[in-house]
Amino acid sequence: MATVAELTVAEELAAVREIAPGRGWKLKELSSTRFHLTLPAKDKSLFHLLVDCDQYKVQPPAWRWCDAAGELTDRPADTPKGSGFLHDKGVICAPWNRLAYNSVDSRGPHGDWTIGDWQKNSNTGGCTTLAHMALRVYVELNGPRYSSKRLG
Amino acid sequence: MDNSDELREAEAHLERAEADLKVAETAERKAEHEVDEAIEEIRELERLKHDEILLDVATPKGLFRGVFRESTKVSPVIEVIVAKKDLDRKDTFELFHGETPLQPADRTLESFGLKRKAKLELVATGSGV
Repeated sequence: MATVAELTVAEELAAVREIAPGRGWKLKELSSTRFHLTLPAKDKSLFHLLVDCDQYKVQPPAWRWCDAAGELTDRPADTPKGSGFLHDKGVICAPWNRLAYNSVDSRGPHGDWTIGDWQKNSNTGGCTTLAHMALRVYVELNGPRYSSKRLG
Repeated sequence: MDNSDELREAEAHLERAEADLKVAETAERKAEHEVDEAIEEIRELERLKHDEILLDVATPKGLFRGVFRESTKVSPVIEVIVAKKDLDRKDTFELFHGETPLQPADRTLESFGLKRKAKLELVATGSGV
């Protein structure tokens, strides 16, 4: 029987799948709760994310920068920079990213957020679905704050 | 090589060919879909009046396409998209055109240099740090 996380991911990925072709995104579903997403930035660089939605939405997904194959993760060469959102520590800094929590990942900038309250966190805003989150990352990669890849 | 080796090799070859065929069929369906979309887009552009703009907006609930007057302000455009896509009216949204946030939202579409056709993104505000 499918879990709540699996059902939610299946439902929410439909919007991502619809947006993807027209914006140059590539979506590869790896399992019922994991996917690999490629997003272009304004300088034509491609960025890749491995997204783990285990226990979604009790917990937010983990949005992890990775290589094109989704095999190597958290390398500076695969990580963008340019804002507090594209954080110096190599994680997306938002309450809807599990890796932003210091209790989950030592690079997480926030020890002051409670992961179970991620949907109520004022910094989440309305960003409570996978398509919201993907759009938010895409806009940041194409916005004025994005600077470049964080190379080694 | 005996018959059973040849048979195994032929079966493996057949499996690879079937897999390749599936990939090709998927690509063909995607290409057909893209052609249909392009034709529809051309028809929509042909139907546009001289002061209208076709917006292709990526929203948290998928794509929205709609025609507006170029003189329409951004905030009513957001309201229409939120209503049509049944997004949560309690959330606040911002439209982006590439690098440009369409802010302030009481400016018109044309004041941001948008003409005839534009691709925009609708994003919940305050959704990051």
